[in-house]
This record gives sequence, C-alpha cells and structure tokens, in this order.
Amino acid sequence: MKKRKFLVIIFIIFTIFSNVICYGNENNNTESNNQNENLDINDVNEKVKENANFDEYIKAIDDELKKNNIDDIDIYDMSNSLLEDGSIDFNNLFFKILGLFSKEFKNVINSAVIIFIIVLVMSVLSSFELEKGSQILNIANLVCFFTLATIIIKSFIEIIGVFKNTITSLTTLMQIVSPFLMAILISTGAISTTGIIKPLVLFIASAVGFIINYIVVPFISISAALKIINNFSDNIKIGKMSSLFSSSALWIVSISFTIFLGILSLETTISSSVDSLAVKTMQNAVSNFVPVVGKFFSDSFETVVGATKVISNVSGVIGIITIVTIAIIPVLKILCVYILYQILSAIIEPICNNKTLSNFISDFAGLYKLLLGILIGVSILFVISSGIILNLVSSVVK
Amino acid sequence: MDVLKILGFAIISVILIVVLKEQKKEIALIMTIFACVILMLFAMTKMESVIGVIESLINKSGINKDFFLIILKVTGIAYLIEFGKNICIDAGQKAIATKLEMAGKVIILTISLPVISALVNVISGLI
Repeated sequence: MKKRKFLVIIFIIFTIFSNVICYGNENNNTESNNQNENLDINDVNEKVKENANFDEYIKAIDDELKKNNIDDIDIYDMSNSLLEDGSIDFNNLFFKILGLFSKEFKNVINSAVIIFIIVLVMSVLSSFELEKGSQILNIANLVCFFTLATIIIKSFIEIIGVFKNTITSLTTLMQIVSPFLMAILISTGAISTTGIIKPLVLFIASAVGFIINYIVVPFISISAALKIINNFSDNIKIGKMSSLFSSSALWIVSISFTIFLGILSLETTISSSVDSLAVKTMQNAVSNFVPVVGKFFSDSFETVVGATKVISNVSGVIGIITIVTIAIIPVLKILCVYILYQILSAIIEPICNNKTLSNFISDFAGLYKLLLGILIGVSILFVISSGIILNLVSSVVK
Repeated sequence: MDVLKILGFAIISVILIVVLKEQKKEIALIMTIFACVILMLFAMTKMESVIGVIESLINKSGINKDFFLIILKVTGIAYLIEFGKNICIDAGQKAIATKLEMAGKVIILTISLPVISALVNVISGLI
C-alpha cells in the first residue's frame, strides 16, 4: 500500500512540474493552407497542357485541316479563346465555311449547266424526228448520251475522290483525337475505362475507314458503272443488278454503324461506373488515411483534375468542331449535286421524250443520296464517340 | 417575210412539178430534188445564226466546248443524212438510201470516237 501511494505521488509531482517546451510556429498551419489556395489555376492549366502535349495535339489537327485545303480557320486562335473565356466565334466560323462552300458550288452549277444544254440538244434532235424509228437519229441520240454519261461520271469520280479523302481524314482525325482524350482520361484515374475504350475507339475509327473506302465505295462505283451500261440500249437489262450493289453498300454501312455504336455505348456504361467508384474510393482513402498531408493532397488532386477536365473539354470540343468542319464541305457539295440532279431530272422529263434520260439522272441522284447518308453517318458516329469519351471524363470525376 | 418566201417557193415548185409530171417525169424528179435542196439550204443559212448564238453562250459560260462541238456535228450529220436518204427513197432508189445511211453511221461513229474512248476511260477509272 505504502509503495503504491508513493508511486502515485511521484507521478503527480512529475506531471505537474515537468516543463514541456514546445518550439513551433503558430502560423505554420495556416501558411500551408494559403499556399494551397495560392496555387494559381493558370499554372495548373499550363502544367496539364504541357503534360498532355496539348500544343502538339492542336498542331496535328491543324495539319489535318490544311490537308483538306481549309486554310481560313485558325484552330490555335479557337483553342486559346476556348481556354480563356470558353466561347467560340461561331459567326466567324459560319462565314468561313460558307466562303469555302461557295467555291465548290460554282463547279457543281457548271456541270449541271452543261448537262442541261446537252439534254436540250437531244430533245431538239428527237422532236425533229423525220421518220419514226430512224436509225441514224438513234445513233446520234446515243452519242449525245455518251457525252452526257461522260460528264456525269467525271463529276461522280471527282466527288468519290473527295468522299474518300474526307473519310480518310476523318479517320485520321479520330486517331488523333481519341488517344489524346484517352491520355487525359487515364490521368484522371479511369484506368479500366481507358483500357477498354481506347482499343475500341481506335478499332472503330480504322474499321469504319476501311469498310467504307475498300468495300462500300467500290460497290457504289460498280453500281454507277452498271447504271450507265444499263442505259446504253434497251436490250441490256442490268438495272436490278446495279441497285443490288447500291443497296448492299447501304446495308453494310448501316449494320456496321449499329454494331459499333451499340458496343461503344454498352462498354462505356459499365466500365465508367467501375472507374468512378475506384477514383472516389482512392480520393477518400487518400484524404482520410494518409495522415496530415492527406487532405491537402486530396484538394490539390481535385484542382489538377479540374484543370484536366477543362483541357479535355476544350480539346474534345476542338476535335468535334474539326470533324464537323472537315465533313461539312463535302456534305454540302454532295447535297448540292443531289438537289441539282433531282431538279434536272424533273425538268428533263417533260422536254425530252426519251424516258431513260430522266431515269438515268434520277438514278445518279439516288447514288449521291447514298453517299450523303454515309458521310453524315460517319461524321455523326465519330462525333458521338468523341462525345462519349468526353462524357466519360466528366462522369468519372465529378 | 422569210416564211412567205419559202411558202411561195414551195407552192410554185409544187405547181411546176405537178404540171411537168404529166409531160416529163425525169425532169419533174430533178425539179423535186432541186427544190428540196434549196429549201434545205435556206434552213441551213437560218440555222447558222442559231448555232452562233449557242456558241457565244457557251463561250461566255466558260464550259469546255469539245464535247459540245461533237454533239453539234453529229446532230447536223444525222439531219443531212436523213434528208438525203429521204430524197433517195422519193426517187425510188432504196438501195442507195440504205448505203447512204450506213455511210452516215460510220461517219458519226468516227466523229464520236473521242467521246466513246473518253467514256470507256472514265468508266474503267471508276472500277
């Protein structure tokens, strides 16, 4: 008992009289907080831009635009204005696209005028028919038809060339845009999403380019050639064969688009929720379990992720704008040709009693409609897939 | 007034030919051919100005006129051959008429060769 009392007394004495000197600065804590807040958002932006090679990305997109003879649109300017005040001068963009379009429109009108003049001559020829079923006039008609077919096919080949180029550069653009967005996505911690989406989007972009350039375009060309041969004489009947080729081209395109979009949307839905969970868990774990600095780390993590989001949104928007800009000029051109051919076939039907002629021109209008649909479909597919990736960035990191 | 000229010429020649037919059939036939040729020549002189207008229009619009020239040539040849063929048939020379048509076809073919070869080139370039 005595021994215990003694120990208690000694303990009390020690606790009362022991001098604990603590050297420290009271302001220390607050200072580090200030430092965190002073971390300039612009600096973070610059760092993220540097890490993600933003400038090189913009340069690659600019090169692709230059390749398509679109020199007027300054992508650097656009990206800067997007980063600074988050707006684009849509008015300016619209007028520049209109200017590019008007150049193309002139060519289209020119060929339509030639076709119209030839058809007028043909109609004059057939209305002067001296004798019913005169063979020599038939031959003269055939020569006129040859001329007409040459002009129509020439413009068709030109448009097919433009079409192929556009598809190729859209594919290339997709292969520029998606890895960049993926790199940003992976830097926000969405590892499983990136693992699935990256190969998928790249595969889709190159597969679409391949299918269209090597399967669909030849099918459409064969269909056009068969249409001409079909109209050479009444004895050759391969009209159905020609429409078989064009409709199978349409089927191939629509089936592949459906499959690609289905896979893309399904995969993103599953993997993005997994990633979102993982990122949040990581963030919470860091802020709660890492002592003292955990909170700051978590805060700065948020700042960096916010900056990443800004950069990814800007780059995604620029990618989408470029896709639309590259696609819109051929789309407008083909639309123009399509409308002109429809008008031509409507005008030709009453003035020329040769019925095959107006059918021939409206057949070609149908081919142009098909091309138009495919081009719009491809650009929408690409815009949607970049939009899905963009959405992922925001859905993974809230 | 041109219409009246042609009309008068046609009626007078018809009357002359009908009267001549009773006396001398060969001369009546020659008269018919002569009258046809003169009418045709008259039409051709008028056609010249029309083609001139079309050509100036094409020059203005800046269209490549190679194909157009071929079409004009082919059309003109077709008319002329058709005309000659009809005269031959009127004179009762069907054999010559068919040969003339044949020759006309060949000429049209030779003229339109560039168009045909261009078309074949273009189509083969397509596939």
